[in-house]
Amino acid sequence: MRRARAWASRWIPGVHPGIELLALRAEGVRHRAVDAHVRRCRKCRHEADLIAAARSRRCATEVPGDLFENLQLGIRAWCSLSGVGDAATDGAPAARAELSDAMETYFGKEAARRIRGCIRSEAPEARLAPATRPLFNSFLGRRAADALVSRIAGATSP
Amino acid sequence: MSYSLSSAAERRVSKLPRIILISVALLLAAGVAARAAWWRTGDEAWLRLFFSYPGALFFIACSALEVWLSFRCWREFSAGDLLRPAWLLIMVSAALQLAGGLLNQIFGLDSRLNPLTRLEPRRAHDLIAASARLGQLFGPFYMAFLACGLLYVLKACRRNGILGRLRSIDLALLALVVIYTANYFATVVFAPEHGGRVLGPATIISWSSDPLLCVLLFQAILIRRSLANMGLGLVSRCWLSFTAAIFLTSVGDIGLWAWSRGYLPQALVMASWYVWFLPSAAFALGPAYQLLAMLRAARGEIRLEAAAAPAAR
Repeated sequence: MRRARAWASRWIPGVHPGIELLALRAEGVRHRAVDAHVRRCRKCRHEADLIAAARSRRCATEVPGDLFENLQLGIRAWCSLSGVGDAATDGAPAARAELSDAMETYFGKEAARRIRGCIRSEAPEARLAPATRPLFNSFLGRRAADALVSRIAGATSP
Repeated sequence: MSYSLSSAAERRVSKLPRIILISVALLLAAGVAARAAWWRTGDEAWLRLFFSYPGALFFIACSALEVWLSFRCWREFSAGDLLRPAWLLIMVSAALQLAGGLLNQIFGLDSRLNPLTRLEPRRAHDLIAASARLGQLFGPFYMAFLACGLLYVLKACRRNGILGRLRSIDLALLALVVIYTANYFATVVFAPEHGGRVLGPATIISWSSDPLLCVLLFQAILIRRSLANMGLGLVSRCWLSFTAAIFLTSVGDIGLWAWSRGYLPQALVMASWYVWFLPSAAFALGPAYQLLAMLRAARGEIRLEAAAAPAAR
């Protein structure tokens, strides 16, 4: 799927590689099609520069910047939900978690399983809740998503 | 941990899916009873009675419920939310479906529910025929608005990385509906006599319903692949209800065409008439699940009350 998207971004006008491929590119996973697109597209070049800057800032200071951590967490949650992350393939039972329960109530068991894998590998559930906010925002609206995410964050914060 | 208790409105909405499903089951049971009475007595008045009263009222009630629930869903979203325009378009689509249903099922039928039957007989006959003709024109418009609304849902799926992919079975199903549409166009639209219909704006509008149904089915399958992958949560159930409604509308449409051509075995003729109640119910179920999800989320409910109660104990 990633390869198809990269290929499409090279040859089909208006198709962009997306944040996942740009983040992978920043981490050193090079793809000629993505490189070609980034050379051509100003918007993606700007996004790639931002990701690269955040990454280099983090490497330089050796302090995990919240922004970068949250971005990584967001990407991981996004990948888990779309079924491309490693966490989704982990089938071992996990502890009952507020976020995965909310995912099960509103989206279903599979979504809960995927996010549970993400929680286990990333540990801080309270920080993962905002990363899943876009999904709740999209399908339930900002008002409901805010109430839900703050409830999850409140229930899981130490 | 405690969160506010469900409101009276939420409790009412939470009962709706069950009420809709029980109603459609009772209606189908009544339909089967009417069919049995027709078969035993040979009097088709039983069947006419069923479709003119409980059947017609069910269509109208489901459409009215869909309008009201879609309006509530639209209002629950804030300005700028991705799916707010989708629910506005779905509400308009439901309102058009309701208007078409009123013209077709109430004003277009010679029944006691129709106030036009109290007019002078000749005038009543003309008006009833005009209502039935006008009612058919709403179909393509409601489909067009629904297709626009579902585009936003696909956009939301894509943005959140959950957009699914079509499988071979989906492509086969789509191919079946496209072949049916192509056949309809070849034998009616491009035929010299246009299937015996007078060529006018109304006829041309009515022809667009089959291509629109193809678009809707494509969207519905893609939404099903995207959200069914997530499970059967409240939001997923909402969009799966719309998917089921569109799929069943296609089945009903093909069934009517097959019946009119004499391709349908006698045993399936009645099924092709009754199947129309199912999409009607499914269209009302969708916004009911969405509204329930939004009300519960706004209260910060993480797990369903029924599931949370034993855990709390």
